[in-house]
Amino acid sequence: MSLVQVISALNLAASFLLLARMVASKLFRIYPLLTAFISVDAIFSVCMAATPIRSNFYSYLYMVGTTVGLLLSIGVVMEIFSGALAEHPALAKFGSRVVGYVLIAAGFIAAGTLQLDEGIPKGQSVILHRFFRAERTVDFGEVLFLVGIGLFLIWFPVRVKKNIAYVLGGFGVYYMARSAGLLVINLLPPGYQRAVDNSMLGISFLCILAMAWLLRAELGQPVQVVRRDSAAAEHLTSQLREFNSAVARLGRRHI
Amino acid sequence: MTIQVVAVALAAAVFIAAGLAALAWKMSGRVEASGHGEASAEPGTFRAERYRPMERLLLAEEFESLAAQPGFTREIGEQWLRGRRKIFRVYLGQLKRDFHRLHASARLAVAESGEESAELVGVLIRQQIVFSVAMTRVELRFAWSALGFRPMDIRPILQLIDSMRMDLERFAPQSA
Repeated sequence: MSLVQVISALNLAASFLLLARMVASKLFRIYPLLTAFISVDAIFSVCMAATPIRSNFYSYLYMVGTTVGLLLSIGVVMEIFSGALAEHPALAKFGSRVVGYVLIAAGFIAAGTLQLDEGIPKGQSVILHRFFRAERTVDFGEVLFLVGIGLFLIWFPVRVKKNIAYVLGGFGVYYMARSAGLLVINLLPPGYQRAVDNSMLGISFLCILAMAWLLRAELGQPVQVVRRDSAAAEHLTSQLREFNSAVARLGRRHI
Repeated sequence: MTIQVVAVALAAAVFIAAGLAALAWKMSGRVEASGHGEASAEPGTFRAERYRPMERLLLAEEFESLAAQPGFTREIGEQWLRGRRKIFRVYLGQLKRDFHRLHASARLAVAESGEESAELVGVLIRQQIVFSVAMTRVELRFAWSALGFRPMDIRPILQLIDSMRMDLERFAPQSA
């Protein structure tokens, strides 16, 4: 049994462990798209394990599985986004207004990296090269979006469920590793592909295992948020007015 | 060239992945915290009197008045300016801290309020960006002025604070 087969088997085992955890703790009801994503990934992994690695069918299977996975992953990212802001109506409403723009911006930035692997290394399949290129760009766009969500949540201080934080971290690291790995595959000669594949699979295994270990049913309960009345905002306004008048007096001619 | 691109890409990937893991770690720790880190919906009392001395610290008239005194020398003037600038910087730091404290309180109040406060989110983001830019400009001008090249103008920061006040006044009644 080769190293890649061992790591693939470990990935599959971790995926089933995570699925079992999600079903047992009823998290699949809260995160249906994440559950679907892991299920689809596991199903395609099983199919690919039963297919000769050097066959055309294996490549097609990879491309179909990855495309379905990518579409689901966009849904998972949106699931993380809406889950994180579920307890904060003002932020959720603002988020729903700007999410399209943020996705477009993330897509543009990610597309800016397309030129990095324009050239096709000798011996690499043209179709696979282009597919990897498209896949890693979408992956990177998703990572940028997740970074944006994370920074936004930390900046406000927003209370989120621990599960949301773990899924954001696990999913983000997983896709960052994939994006970087596929770029490296597209840049280096085919001889390096196996080592890069093993690295990507290793990181994927760690991410799935971490999520399987960390996700807990009880932590999926809604976060208790203390609602504020207008008095807090009014107090702040008066404080900021004071602040302004203090600074306004500095608006004279200084040395 | 390819190796350099690979090295930079891998370094960037490690950096972003570590950042994401740190973000997730920080977010997961926030849930069990008793409050929201350093922010609080009760911003405490802001006392304008604290900044009153700043108004006169670097006024050109003050310096001109000193320079008109008999026995005034360039050394005395430079020493006077150095001392005043040092105190001004302390006040400026305190002013920044007060802005961040008030702004954090405003963010918390908005985060914990209803849909009607959604517009305030954009206002707060804009305030933070403009404040950071204006403060950087003030810091640069302060450093420039300390080298004795030109007088310092802190009007941009005043305009910012004024617009911040107007924004919050406009939206605060809706944030109930």
